[in-house]
Amino acid sequence: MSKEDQVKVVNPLGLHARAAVKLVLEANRFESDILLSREDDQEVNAKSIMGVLTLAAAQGSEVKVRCEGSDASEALEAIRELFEKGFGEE
Amino acid sequence: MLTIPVSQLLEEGSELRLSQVAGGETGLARHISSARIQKPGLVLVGHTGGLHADRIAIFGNAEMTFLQEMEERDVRQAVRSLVDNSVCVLVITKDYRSPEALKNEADRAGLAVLQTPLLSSSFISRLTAYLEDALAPSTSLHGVLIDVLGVGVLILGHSSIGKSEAALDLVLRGHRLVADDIVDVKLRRNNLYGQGSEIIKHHMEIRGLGIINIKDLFGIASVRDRKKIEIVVELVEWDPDVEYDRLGIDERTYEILDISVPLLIMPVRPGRNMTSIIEIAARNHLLKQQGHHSAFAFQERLNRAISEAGFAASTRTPGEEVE
Repeated sequence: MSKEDQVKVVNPLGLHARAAVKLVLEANRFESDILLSREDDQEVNAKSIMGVLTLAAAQGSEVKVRCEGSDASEALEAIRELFEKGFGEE
Repeated sequence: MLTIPVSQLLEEGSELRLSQVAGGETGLARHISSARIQKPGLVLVGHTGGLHADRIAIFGNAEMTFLQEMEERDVRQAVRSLVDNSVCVLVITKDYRSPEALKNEADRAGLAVLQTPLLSSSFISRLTAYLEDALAPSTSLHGVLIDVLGVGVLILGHSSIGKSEAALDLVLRGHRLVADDIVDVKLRRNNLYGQGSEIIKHHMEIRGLGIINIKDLFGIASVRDRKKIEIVVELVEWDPDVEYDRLGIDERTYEILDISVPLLIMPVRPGRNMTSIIEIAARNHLLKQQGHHSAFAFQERLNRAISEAGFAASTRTPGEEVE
């Protein structure tokens, strides 16, 4: 199963190091492969901290999330929620 | 087919020293798709054969002095065929001033006219080098690239199998890290070159330690920026049902950007020192490059021994004891 969607970085600090860790921990809860990309750039693995850090996504930037695997829908939902809630930051 | 917008030449090609003279935003949005250049001098006298829209057109000394000697009306006529053939971009070298007629025609058609103080010859060599790199097919892989004894070893394998740990161990032994986790690969002249992405360059993530900077910890000689990929080592979970290579006679390959790279599939198990094995793989690769293939040489020795034994057996007289 393959699911994909665009999400927006809403928190003021962007996808910084601590936010990236939250994202990686969340991604690792799923069996599916989760891939992130910005604009037309190369995809990075959402389960790898270094991969997520290379995105260097600032507030307002759009990130494409692509999930492949048996729990793709749940994974996409969880990742989207994390982005929408600004990684739990104020 | 890879292309780059004309604007990228201005933004990234600082060594090209370009500035825009005409053509506006429309001109900058056109795309370059060839690393080759053209000097379309004959277009100015009406010969448009051999003009390529995808290549950068360059006007140097000869073309510009020719234009300068013309009446404005004739210039307009001369450049029209160039402008109307939707050439991607025109570069004037040696800072020659563009005639007004050329500027106007270029603005009308949305052709970017750029200017550089460089001489045509040095501009062309810099431009070709820049374009070959910018237009090279590329991809990015999840793995670690390390220079082991001068051999570029790309370590692949799924998350948390121990790629970074193996690489760190190799760095401790004096080998040089190129990229951890994300390896950007470019194809140039049938060779694959890998490098790390700008932000995480020379950093590694080690579970339990966090992010570490290899260059700061081990010094400048422990890292390098780019390396040709010569072998791929894929770390896999040891599976008792899979037959791993026991002889090294059947050579496997891994395809990256349609280039075949020798592949070693390496089962990981406690007690197997991956670092030593990777280092030996690099040494073995160097031997093969020198024309010595250990596995083949061994096979030949064995075959010779077998055929000699067979020959001895066939010439033996019946009843004779074998020593």
